[in-house]
Amino acid sequence: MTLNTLQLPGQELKNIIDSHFPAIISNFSLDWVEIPIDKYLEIITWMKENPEIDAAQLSNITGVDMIDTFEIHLHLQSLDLKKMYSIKVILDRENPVIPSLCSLYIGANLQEREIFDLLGINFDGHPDLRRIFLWEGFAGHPLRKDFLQMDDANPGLPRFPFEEAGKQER
Amino acid sequence: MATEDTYELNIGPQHPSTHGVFRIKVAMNGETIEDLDMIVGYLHRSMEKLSEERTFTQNIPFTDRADYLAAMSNNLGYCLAIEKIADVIPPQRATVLRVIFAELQRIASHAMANGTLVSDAGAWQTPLMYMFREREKILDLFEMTCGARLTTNYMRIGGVAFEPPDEFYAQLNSLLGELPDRVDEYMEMLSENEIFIARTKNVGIITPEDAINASLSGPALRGSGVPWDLRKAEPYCGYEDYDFEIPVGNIGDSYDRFMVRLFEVKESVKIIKQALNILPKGMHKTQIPLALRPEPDQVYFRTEGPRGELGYFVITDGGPAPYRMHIRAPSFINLSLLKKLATGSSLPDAVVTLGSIDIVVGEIDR
Repeated sequence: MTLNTLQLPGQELKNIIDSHFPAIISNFSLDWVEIPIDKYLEIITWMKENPEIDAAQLSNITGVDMIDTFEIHLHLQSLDLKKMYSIKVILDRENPVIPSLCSLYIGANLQEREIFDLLGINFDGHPDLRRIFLWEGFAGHPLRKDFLQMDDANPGLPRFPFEEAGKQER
Repeated sequence: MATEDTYELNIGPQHPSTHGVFRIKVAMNGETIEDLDMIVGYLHRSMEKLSEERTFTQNIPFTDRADYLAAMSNNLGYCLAIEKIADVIPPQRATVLRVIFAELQRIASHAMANGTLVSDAGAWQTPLMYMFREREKILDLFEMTCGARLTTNYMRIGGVAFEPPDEFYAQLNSLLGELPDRVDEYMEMLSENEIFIARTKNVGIITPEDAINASLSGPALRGSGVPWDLRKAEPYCGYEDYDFEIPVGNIGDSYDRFMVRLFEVKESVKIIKQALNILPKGMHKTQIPLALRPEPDQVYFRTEGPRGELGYFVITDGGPAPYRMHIRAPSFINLSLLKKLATGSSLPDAVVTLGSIDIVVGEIDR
C-alpha cells in the first residue's frame, strides 16, 4: 500500500510534533501517528495554530471498536499547504471519554454526535451531545463489536456465501 | 426550544423543501428564525454495521444507496479505497470508463441539485423539468450500460462490470454536443432573472473561514471562493492528465453555489470529451479472487463526489469483510453550518440556503 498524495508520512509528522512535544509519540506507522489522550486537545490546538502544520480543516473523525480498546481516527488537512495528517488516539474500553473538538472546529459537532450515537464514546465539552441517527432510549451502540450480532440471531446462517455453515471464525 | 417570545414550527419529515425524509424544528420570532434543530436518522440503515458482515464485493450495492443521486461516484470511491488497500490495479480502459461515468453522474446530480434549488426559490417545477430532461438522457445511458438507472452497481473492485454497448458512444456524443448549449440556456433563463436573484443573492452567505472550519467541501466550499477540488488537489483515476478548471464563487451566497454547479457541468463535459479521445482498447476488468482478503491495514481514500469530499475509511483485519468501514458523507458534514446560517434569517431564506447546500438524505443517514 502507498500513501495518498497529500498524506504527510507518519515519520515526518512525528518529527514535527517531537520538536514541540518531546517524547510524547508512543507509536506511529507509515501514515498515522498515535498521540496520548491527556495531550490530545493540546496537540490538536497546536496543530491548528502552528503555520508549519496549519491543520485548518477537520476532514474526518471516526471511531473504531478494537474489542480491548476504542480508537479515534482523525484526518486533518491544510488547504494552503496541501497536506493531510492522520492521528490516532486510543481510549479506555470501559469508560471511553475524549475531549471534544467543537471549540476548534464547527465541523466536529455532527461527527462527534454520530460517534457518540453509534459507538457510545463520550465527548467531554461537547455543547449538544445527543443521539443523532437513533432515537433517545435506544439500547446499546450498534457499531460496538459486542452489539447483538446477526450470527446470534440466526446461528445456522453462514456469514459469507463461500463459507460452510457453522464455521464462522475470522 | 421555544421561549416566551417565540413559537415552534416543525418542517418535515415529509416536506418538499427538505429533499427527502429530513426534519427541522425551528423556533420563530415572527418571521425570523431564532433557533434551529435538525432531526435526521429516518433513513438510517446502519450501512457501516452491515458492511462488516459482507464481503468487499457484496458491499458495492450499499454504496449506491448511500447517495442515491450519485451512485456511480459512490461506487467509484468505495472501489478505489478497496483497490488501494488490496493492491489491485484496474486496467487503463476501466479507469477511463470510470472517469466518463463519474462525470456523467456529476452532471446528472448537479442538474437535480440546481433544479430543486430553483424549485425551492419559487419557480415551481418548470426549470426542474428542464434540468430533468438532461438527467433523463444520462440515466438512459446508464440503463443501456448496466441495466439500472439509479442504483447502478456498475463499478467493481478491479474495473467496471460491463462494457458499454456500441450505441452508447453515439448517444453520448450527441448529448455532449447539446449540453453546453443547455447550460447557456439555463444561464439565460435564470442568472439574470430578477426573482431568482432576489431569492438567492446574498442569501445564506458562507465566509471562506467558516466553510473551511466547518469541514465543508464540494460546491458549498467552492462557492465561497476556496479553489479546493480533490480531482486537482489529490488526483485519482488519472485526473491530473485532464484539462479542466475549478469554478469558484465570489461571496459564497446561494447564487454562487448555484453558478458553481452550472459551470462544473461545462467542465465535466470537457473532461468526458477528453476521456473519449484517450479511451484505450483492452480489458474492462481484472480478475480478483472471489474471497478478497487484504492484509490487515487501514486506508482513508477520498474522491470528489458531486456533493464534496466523499471519503471511505476502511480497516481490514485479514478477513473477507471490512473490520470497520466508515463513509465520510459530504451531505451530512455540509449541514454543520445550517444552524448558524439559518439563525437570524427568514424561513423562506433558510429553505433556499438548505437547497443550495444540496443534501441527499440517504447519504446523511446512511
